[in-house]
Amino acid sequence: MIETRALGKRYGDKVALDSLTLQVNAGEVMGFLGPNGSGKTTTIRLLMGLLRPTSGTAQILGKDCHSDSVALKRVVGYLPDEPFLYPYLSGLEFLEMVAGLHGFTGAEARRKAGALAERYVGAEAPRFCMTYSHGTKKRVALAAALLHDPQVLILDEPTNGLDPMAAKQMKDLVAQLAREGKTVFLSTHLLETAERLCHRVAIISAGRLLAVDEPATLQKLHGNDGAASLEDVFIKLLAPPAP
Amino acid sequence: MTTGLASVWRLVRVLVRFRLRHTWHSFRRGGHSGSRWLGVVALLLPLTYVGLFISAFGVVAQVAPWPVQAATLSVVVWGLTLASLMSKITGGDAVVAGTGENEFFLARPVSLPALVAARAFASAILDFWGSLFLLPVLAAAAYVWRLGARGFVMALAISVIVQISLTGCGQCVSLGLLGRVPLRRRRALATAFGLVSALAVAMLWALASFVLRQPQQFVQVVSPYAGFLNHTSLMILCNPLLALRAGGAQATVWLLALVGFALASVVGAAGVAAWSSRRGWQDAGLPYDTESLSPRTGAALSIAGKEWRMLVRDRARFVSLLAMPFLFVGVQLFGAVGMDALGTGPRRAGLVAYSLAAYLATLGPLPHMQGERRAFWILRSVPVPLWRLMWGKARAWLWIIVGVGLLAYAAMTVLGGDSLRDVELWRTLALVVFGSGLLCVLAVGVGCNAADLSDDGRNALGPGTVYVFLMVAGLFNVALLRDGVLAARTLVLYATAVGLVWSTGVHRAESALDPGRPRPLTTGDGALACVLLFCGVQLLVAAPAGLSVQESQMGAAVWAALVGLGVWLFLVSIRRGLRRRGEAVPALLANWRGQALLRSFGALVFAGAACAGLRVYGGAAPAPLVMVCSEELILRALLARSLQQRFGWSWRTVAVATFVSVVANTSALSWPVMAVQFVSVLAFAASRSVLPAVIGRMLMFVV
Repeated sequence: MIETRALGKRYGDKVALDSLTLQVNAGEVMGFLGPNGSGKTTTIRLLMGLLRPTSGTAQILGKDCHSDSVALKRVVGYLPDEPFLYPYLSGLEFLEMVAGLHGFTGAEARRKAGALAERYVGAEAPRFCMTYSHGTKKRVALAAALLHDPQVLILDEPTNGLDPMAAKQMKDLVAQLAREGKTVFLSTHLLETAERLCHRVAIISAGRLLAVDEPATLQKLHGNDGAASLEDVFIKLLAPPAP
Repeated sequence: MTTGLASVWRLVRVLVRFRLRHTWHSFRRGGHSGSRWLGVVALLLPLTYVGLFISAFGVVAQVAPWPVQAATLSVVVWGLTLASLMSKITGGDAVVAGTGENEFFLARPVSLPALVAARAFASAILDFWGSLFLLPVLAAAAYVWRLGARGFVMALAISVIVQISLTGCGQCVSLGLLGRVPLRRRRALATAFGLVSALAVAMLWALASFVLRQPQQFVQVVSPYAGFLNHTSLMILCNPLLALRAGGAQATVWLLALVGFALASVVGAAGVAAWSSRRGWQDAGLPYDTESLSPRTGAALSIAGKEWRMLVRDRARFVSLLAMPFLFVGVQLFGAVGMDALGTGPRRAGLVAYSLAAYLATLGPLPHMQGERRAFWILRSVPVPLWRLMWGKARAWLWIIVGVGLLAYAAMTVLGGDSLRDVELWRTLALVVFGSGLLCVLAVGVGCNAADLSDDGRNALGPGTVYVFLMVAGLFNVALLRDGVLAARTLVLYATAVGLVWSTGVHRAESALDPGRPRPLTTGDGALACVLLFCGVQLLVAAPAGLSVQESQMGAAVWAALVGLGVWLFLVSIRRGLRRRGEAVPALLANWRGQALLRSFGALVFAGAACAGLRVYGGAAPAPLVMVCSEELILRALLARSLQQRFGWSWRTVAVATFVSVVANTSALSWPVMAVQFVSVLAFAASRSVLPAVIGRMLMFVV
């Protein structure tokens, strides 16, 4: 479903992503874990065709993420880490615009946008996006990602900056999408979220993939007594080697 | 009271010290190195106004008696002061209450009245050019009236004191009004303020143009009212200087009166701030209401619809766009040609209408990526090719830009009494429509090409983008000025160049969010350089009257040398960038022969420019050599190679395309010239190097 081969990205001398090879299967929720600045957002932006890879390839549903990016976006939904919205459009107008860009006609676009706005944005939908809190902006962006009923969802830090209630709703939503058979690739540094939601997790640090497996397997492999939490595994993998 | 003053003084010191330090650091470590140096140039530019006003006031002093001179000075000073006051009101603290800096200060043990007062005083230093806004006019008057150093110091003191007064008054008005107006009407009020402010600036520009370009006519306008003006309190701003000219006894008294007024305005602003903070100052600063928008009907919101809505709702941008025609028409009417702009034929009307459209484009379609900022992610997340989205933007602006161009042209031809049977009128109309339409495509393309959305901390577009756009857009005037085959060639060349800039822009916009995107040679660069070379040469040859053939050739060679030099520097900067990123460097820029070629080009072009500029040679002998070097740099080293890189064309195809562009670019087209170009193209295609083509052309030129 999602496949990267030796995917790399450099910013001048700095290696942001170093030869990432990864595969995400259909219907799977893959957690992408790593500390700040480890290359999670870079990977996601490469998958969305927002960045040009320095080396390697990335494919989703057999389509190249860079050369086939237009066709790809018909089947992929994307939620960025910090979803900037047009300040002088209302949330409802924003969703209508996105619906129009996905090819829905006037009435259908309004119906879809209205339904999603009612579900995710509520009473704030007719107000300017500049008046929204971070959580509301994130909900508008999520609604935009779900508008065309995509097969694959790419979520960059979906619970980042949300209050506990909103974070719980987001996690429930991801779980529901997984039950519906969607493939979800989500980056997070909240280990509890990954442990609860993901079928498999990939741990990345300084642009390098350190481990990829089911959370339980990772806990068995890297825990001293087999009963370590995912947090313990994460810290152990990221710890510098003993002298 | 003493504690309050100490608090204000301490705050002034903190504001001045750290703001200056911040400015210095941002200059030293600023992202766009070009913008830094452009900033330095911008700092020096206002100095030229001193010279311009000295020249204008010199004329006023010659033709007008003393009371009229004083009234003239007063009118200009008040024009400047009112425009500045309006901008202070719209930029006052009430409007920007929610800014991070205000929140930061008010979270410290600092009261709002102290902050407002400290800002007013600190503005004398921090708003450097604002403080000196009256200086060019007053210093010019002091120079013309031979008041010496004392006059200059007095002019400086008046300017700084008036600046403090205006900051105080501006804050007073904005805090007071916005604090009283209900939230739902606040946005409308702020928009109205912005509009009045923009119109005041437009009026000021027109007034300054009038004074600087037609001082004698301005004196005639002011003369009947001079007696009245000299007996009103309107003279207060100029009185210290006038008293100095009259002997100096009253000058200090008048200056102290201004100081008193400045202190009163600051105290007034602090008082209003104290009242405003009790009423909930933070709330008073909200520039928008939170009322719900009505649901809409009809088709789904398109990109064009989005652009229009964003424009109408973004009050600063909308106001600028509304004010631009007033500004432009004002400058045209009161500028060098004055009312003669009307009634000098369709061509003149076409030039003015097209120029207006070009200036509007700098506010509309050119900064479109600035409006996207990081919201651009949504346009990159939908299954629509980017070129179609950008075309939607260009289409949205077509209606506005072409409409305004058309309206301006129609108004000027109707007012000028041009005959509808005149073929020239319809030809120019078609050119205005075509040119204005191309402007939108060019602006969107240039905006896409230059936009860097990877860093929120800096503008998406560098300041050079506007100048590049205006320079290229302005050169469409060749099509409006020239006739026949040359006009047709200009149109074809221009349209092709716009197409290439568009293609490059859309291609580069795909990676606008990528901080590490490479800066390759682009066809847009080549096309822009071609247009600059061809149209610039044509304008130089066509526009100045009374030049000899040699002088025209010399002027054209200087222009070609400058464009060639720019291309050479660009190629060198590209090479550095590629090397820094560890990417493959094109052969031309990598091996010693290519480098030697570029250096010799640079030296030749520079020497040619210097010789032509200094007129070391009596005739135009170096002109063709310089032209050859510049053409080769632009057409083959830049355009041909970028075409090859961008489209992957074979060398044969590239050679043919280059030949076509060379023929289109050649000023004086003839069979021998075409033969020379054909041979050099063959040499280029066979050797894949620019050097044989240059040598071939040089030899043929010598023979």
